[in-house]
Amino acid sequence: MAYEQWRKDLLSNFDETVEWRRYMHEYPELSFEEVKTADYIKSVLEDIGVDQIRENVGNGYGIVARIKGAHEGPTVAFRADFDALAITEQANVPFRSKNPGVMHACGHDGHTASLLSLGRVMANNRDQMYGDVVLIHQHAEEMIPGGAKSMVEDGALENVDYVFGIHLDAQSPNGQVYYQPNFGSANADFFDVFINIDEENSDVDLLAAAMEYLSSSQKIVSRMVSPTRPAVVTYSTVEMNQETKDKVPTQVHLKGTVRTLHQSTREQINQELQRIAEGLSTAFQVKAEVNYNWGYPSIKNHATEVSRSLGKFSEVFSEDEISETPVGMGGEDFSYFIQEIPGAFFRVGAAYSEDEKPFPHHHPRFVIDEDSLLRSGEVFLAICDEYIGKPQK
Amino acid sequence: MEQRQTTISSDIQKIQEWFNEQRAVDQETFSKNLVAYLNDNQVEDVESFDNGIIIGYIGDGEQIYGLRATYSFNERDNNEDFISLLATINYLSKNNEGPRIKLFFEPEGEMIPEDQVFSLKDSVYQDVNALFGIQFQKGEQNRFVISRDAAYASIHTFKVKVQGQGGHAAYPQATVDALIVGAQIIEEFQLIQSRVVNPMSPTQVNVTSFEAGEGTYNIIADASVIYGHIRSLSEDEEERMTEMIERMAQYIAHAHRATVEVEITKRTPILYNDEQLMSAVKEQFQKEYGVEVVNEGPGVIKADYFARALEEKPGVMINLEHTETATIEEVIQRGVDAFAEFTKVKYDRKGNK
Repeated sequence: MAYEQWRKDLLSNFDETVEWRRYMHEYPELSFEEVKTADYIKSVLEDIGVDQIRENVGNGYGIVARIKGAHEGPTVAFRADFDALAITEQANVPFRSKNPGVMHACGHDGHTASLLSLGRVMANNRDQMYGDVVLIHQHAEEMIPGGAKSMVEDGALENVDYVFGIHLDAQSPNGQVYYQPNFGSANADFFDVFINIDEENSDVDLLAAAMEYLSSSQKIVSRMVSPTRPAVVTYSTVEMNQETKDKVPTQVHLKGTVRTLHQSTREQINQELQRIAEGLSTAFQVKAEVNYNWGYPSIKNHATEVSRSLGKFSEVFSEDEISETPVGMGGEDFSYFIQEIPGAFFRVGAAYSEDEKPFPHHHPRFVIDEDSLLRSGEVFLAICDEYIGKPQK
Repeated sequence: MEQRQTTISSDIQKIQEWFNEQRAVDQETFSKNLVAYLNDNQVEDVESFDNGIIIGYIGDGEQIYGLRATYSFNERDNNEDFISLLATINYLSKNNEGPRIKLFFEPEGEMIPEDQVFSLKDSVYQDVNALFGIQFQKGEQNRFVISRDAAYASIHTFKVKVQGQGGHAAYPQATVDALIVGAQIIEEFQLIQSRVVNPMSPTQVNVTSFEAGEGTYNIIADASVIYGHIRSLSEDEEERMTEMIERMAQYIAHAHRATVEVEITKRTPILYNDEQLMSAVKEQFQKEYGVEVVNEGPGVIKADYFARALEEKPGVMINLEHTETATIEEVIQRGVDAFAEFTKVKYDRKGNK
């Protein structure tokens, strides 16, 4: 099995992998502003000696690199995102962020370092490759519209047959690999509700109308959507235009998010939100408007690719290291890749085993166990072994 | 009815122009300018206070009658009663044969700002025997309306702080959504007026502001704050409403696993006209203008912190109703007429309540 040889190379590259990750951790950049991170990735790819590098793919600084195998076969792409968040790091690590107010608090630095390490290993083993590997380094996962959709539109998946991705999970123990046989993330949509005075009825209480809207729309999940279709309608912010807190507002603005798995459910919720706004406008003589912003669609894993990957994982990992995990209601724009071609998305545990209650993602004290980079690399290699590690039948 | 001409319209216009120039200045400068204006117009013992109240005296007499008007720098406020009282000065300096008049110019407001609460013992009202104020409102005809019982509403402000447990918007199961709990409390408050209080008693529960969230779309709020006030013309309903605000907030928060802190502050009491003084005012106005345009009427749901002064001293606040078509000068003229008429009211009770 090619995997065993490749894994030795992965182990010997581990120190360098950690160095890459720490460098990116020290110099994080916000979504769509990752100029230096992209330059850094490019310089590592050149050092590795990949066959092709395309820069500025999509609506930002995305990079697509190809490593050609010595033998004919399918092309497998792996995607890692590389943007950071507007958070001031408080984690007690020697390689703390040097860019004020910006932090890799979601593990994207780890994804990227693992993918570069895969590149290093595969570039050293072209003679054992029955097909090509494509490395997709994606900018701007954290900020709508995201980088993925535009990278797909810009040809990132041209001549690619399969696409895979991972996400580190700092809430789950290091060493664990998680799969989701069907949905891997939620449709993550955002909406604004504006409740304005209808000029003819300037005495109406907009706040009372807004609360009625809020209350009615909570019945979308409890009374309108099928109980077997998971759905969340969350209001996160109430803002109002008013002179002082004693004076009634002249506009109320609600901000919220809708999370669903199924396309039909998100469409239904949009319609219900619009319908309630129309009803409210009539009932309360206000002008209620809903702006529904379609966010990332849900990841729908391909059953065959999940099962082929799991088959290989069961050969290289022990049984208790692989488990199914329920899908959460978070969003991920990896979905745009997997909508195009077959593939799967996995989660890799990254919590320190001694941490009883690890800090969640996007927390100023978020940390990962760097051993998880090795496990991520192993997941990539196992998939490579399954798809291009031997001649096609 | 023929209107009595207590002043001339050019005076009113001059005062309006003078006040419009004042709108741009700060409170301190305005107080100084008003003091100077009053001194120039033969008002005696003019004095201004930090809380924005400016006083002065006109004439002699054993009794002291207080005439009170309010001012506001708000562009939309025409300051009719303020202009009226300034315009009354000229008339009084020539025509007053009655009591010594004490003028009160006070910042406009339904409530005294919380940071400006002043003590009414040793207050500016201490030396007066009777206090008089006016408010304007639109009506079907020009008339004077006096309320025998509760004339203006009380105001209690409330602030409800909801403490939940914040988190990511995609995982409501791990949170206690303070925004939703706050919204439920606001919804429930709507039932106080419709289901709790006596429908015959005018009341109002107003939620005026709601703070929740930090501007983001994907974070469930950890805490929220509701601001509002209740209005009432009855002490009994006032008590029921404040009790229900507290009870509903506590139990709804409890039902949703949140906690709540409720602060209720009495900001303005109910304004009661003095019974005896009111009868004297009514008699005087009816003598001058006729019984048909001087009526008793129900209290209004507006509030005026003049109520605080009337807790200390006998006083009367009357409503000057005018038609939609009345010009601002006509409205102000009616204010001058009313202030002038107050000075003729026969009232001999000692001023202390």
